[in-house]
Amino acid sequence: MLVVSDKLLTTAQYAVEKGLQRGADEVEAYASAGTLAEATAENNTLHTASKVIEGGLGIRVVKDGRVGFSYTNSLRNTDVLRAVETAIGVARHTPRDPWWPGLPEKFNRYPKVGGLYSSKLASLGIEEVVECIKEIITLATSRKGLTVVYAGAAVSSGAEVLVNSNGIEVFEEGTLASLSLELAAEDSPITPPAYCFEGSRTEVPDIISITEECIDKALKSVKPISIEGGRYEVLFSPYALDSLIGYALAPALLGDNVVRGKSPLAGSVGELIASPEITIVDDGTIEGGLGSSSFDGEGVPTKRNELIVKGVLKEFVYDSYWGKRGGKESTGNAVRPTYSTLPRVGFNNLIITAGSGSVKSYLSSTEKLLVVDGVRGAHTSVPETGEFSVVTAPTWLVSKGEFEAVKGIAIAGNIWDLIKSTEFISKEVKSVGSFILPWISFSKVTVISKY
Amino acid sequence: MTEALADVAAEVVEKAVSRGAIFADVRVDRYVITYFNVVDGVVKEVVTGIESGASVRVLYRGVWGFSSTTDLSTMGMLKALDYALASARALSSGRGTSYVCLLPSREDYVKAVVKLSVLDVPFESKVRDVMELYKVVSGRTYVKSATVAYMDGAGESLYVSSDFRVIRQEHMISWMSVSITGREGDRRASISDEVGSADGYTLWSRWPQEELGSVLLKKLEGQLRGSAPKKGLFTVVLAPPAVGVLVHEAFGHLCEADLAMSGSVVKNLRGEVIAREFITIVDDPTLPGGFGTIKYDDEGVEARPVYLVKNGVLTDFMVNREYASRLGVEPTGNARASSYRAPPLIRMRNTILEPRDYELDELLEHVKFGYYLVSISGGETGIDGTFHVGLQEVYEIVNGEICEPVRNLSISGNSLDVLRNAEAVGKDFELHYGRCSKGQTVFVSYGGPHVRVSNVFVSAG
Repeated sequence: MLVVSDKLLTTAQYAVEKGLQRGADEVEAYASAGTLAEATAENNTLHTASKVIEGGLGIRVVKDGRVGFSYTNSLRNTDVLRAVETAIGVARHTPRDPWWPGLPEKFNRYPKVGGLYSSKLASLGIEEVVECIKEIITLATSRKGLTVVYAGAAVSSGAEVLVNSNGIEVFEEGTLASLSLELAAEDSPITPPAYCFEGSRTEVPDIISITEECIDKALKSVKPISIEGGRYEVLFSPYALDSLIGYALAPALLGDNVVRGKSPLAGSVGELIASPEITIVDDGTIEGGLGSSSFDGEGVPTKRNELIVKGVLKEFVYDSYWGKRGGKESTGNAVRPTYSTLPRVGFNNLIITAGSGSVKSYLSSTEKLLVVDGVRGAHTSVPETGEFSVVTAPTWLVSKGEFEAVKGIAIAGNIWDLIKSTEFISKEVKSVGSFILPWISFSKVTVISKY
Repeated sequence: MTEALADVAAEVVEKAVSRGAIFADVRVDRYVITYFNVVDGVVKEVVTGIESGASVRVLYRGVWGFSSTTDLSTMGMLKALDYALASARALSSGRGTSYVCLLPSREDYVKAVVKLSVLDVPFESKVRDVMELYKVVSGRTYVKSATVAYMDGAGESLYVSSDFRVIRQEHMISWMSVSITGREGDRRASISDEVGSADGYTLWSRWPQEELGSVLLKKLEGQLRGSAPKKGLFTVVLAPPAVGVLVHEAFGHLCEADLAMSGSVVKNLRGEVIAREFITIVDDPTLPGGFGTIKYDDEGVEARPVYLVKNGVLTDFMVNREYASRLGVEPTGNARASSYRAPPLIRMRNTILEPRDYELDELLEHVKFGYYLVSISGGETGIDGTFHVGLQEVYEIVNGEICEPVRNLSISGNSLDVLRNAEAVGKDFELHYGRCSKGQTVFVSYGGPHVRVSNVFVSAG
């Protein structure tokens, strides 16, 4: 146990104890602290480096079925006590929630999740992070005509603890290193910038491979042509799928949306809703997963939840509140982005299971398809129906492995129609945020060409 | 915020300079935040907290170092300075070209203009007011689910820089967002909207529950009962809320100097005619009552109006201290940060299209068939100017009359084409309230009059 975890645990225990002493029926304290070192470059030039150490505590109290929450960004006892008292004051004035299920009870067993912390990564300073950025710029600018629009490198390490008055006391330490890169080729802005991201819980991602990948995409994007609209087979990369799945599909799998009648999948458990090649799983226990953790934002153990198996809808994800309202147990999916927010239903690692073929061999054997590496406007999707409409860029027309950049393309449709028409799912997968996704191609996608 | 804190901040920037920084600044925030939401009639999440902390930023050999702290003691702030300087030093062995424009010294204290302090309104009253709106919007059989989120923040920021600026500003905002999901037969739809005010607890006098509720229900009904849009190029008339979002989203971002100079489509267009002479777009921090109404920005710079387009000519970019120096222009006061946790970025404030002289009837009268676009649900623009925007309230225009509702329509194209195709500008004006994300989220306003635009690409989705 690191010193920081020990300190967090003591502080959270203090908060719970004080909450009970001040008359709360139930108390839950979530505390986190960590260090972030980050460096960025803009337009081929080093720009900002920062180092921040921060921590805080969020406190949820319940009195007579009334729930209150407050937080503090200082871990001093006096500030923690003030937050506890504020939360109790808030609860006093909050109307009773008839569905309040009580805080989770103590669990005997938590999954062992490996690969979340590396002492080597935790020991890296701002100097090492800066080196990553310099290396990226040197590599990218050694190629004629390329501009590093943006490059970012970040290493963070920290710990989180959760203590509640039912006896839950858990902590976890974690590290994360990430690189992100945006490159534009010479004739920008006609050429859209290429984007790459790589994250790892235990090591600095390989700088050469991410930079080369981005250079390749940027160079392939120059001199885009216009094509006729119509029906095309379209292969979405994990970057493109991330937005599309995130905004149009994933909300339908959240238990709160199901209970509230906002999910089009409510009442469809057991039905075939996707092509039999599609299996979607949420799993917080993946070794080294960017969204992995042994417990969720309420201290409930995470687990593997099979949501769609071979196209058949199996279940949804819940926290304890929406689980109770839906007549289900929590699936360990209470997500807490920071100490200053209450937990909400969300995903740990949302995974679309890999297929068997490689992207490269699929592209070289296919006659004519569009490859989409990014979409814009996915957040205007209607998750209640699955309808979406996006502008795609970068986009390529690929025939037998030959790439030709395409401009002015929009794609519209319904994600639930799309997901029934998969042509290909790659064996390669990529972690983009907390989604782990393969490349997927769909047949007969409506493509609108505009310019 | 105390005098002592300003003294500590002054000591920190002085130390920064003595240790080699060309420029340094400290921002201290202290805000009391109240948030709650009502989910299908239940008060679900209630949060009260204090956002209090300081950021330290240094410019050292052409690069920036940054850190933040919640420890506002001299020791805590000096430690943040150590981190910021160490970060900048690590970076400065490479190539850095950043510089800032330095300004004459200035001391000021800007008080918030408040009609009714959010701190003087009991929490129960705020809940009651939101519940009243919930009752209005949930009272129809086709409404299946509704969430209302309310937030207010009150407090003060302190800015101290090595060019001897000491600026204290009070702020008080209240904000609310509503999203409603409906179903009728097998039609499903959802709509959402945001309102806000920058003068205290005044949401309900400006948007009484009954009135706001019926506007929202009309949107939802249109999405449930409307017909599908035709696809192709049409003449459209945009209502003020849609004009505001479009001006901000599809054009304003391109004129943020950092994005412009990284290669946005307007990079080399300053001084060029890009629209007809009646088109003027300004980012104006002096408009009364906007979310972006500020006297100084988060770099202690006097905020002044920036004419992005003046009488059809692309005129100025919005800059921070760094880009003012880079482009050799006067600073505009567009640097804004979401909190002490992040360095300020070039952001918009109140971005509007200036009204001219047409009545709505006159804008509509020549349209044989087209669309009346009232409210935007969201959108995105690339630096090449291609944008894609979804609408949540649209009507057909037939022979100059606003007719039946249309569901699930979106428009897309290139921002410069849309500006070029703007044919006539109305005389009315509305200012709207929302949030803008660019890594960090800040509160902004946007608005304009009614506008008629030809040859806009319309599709479903």
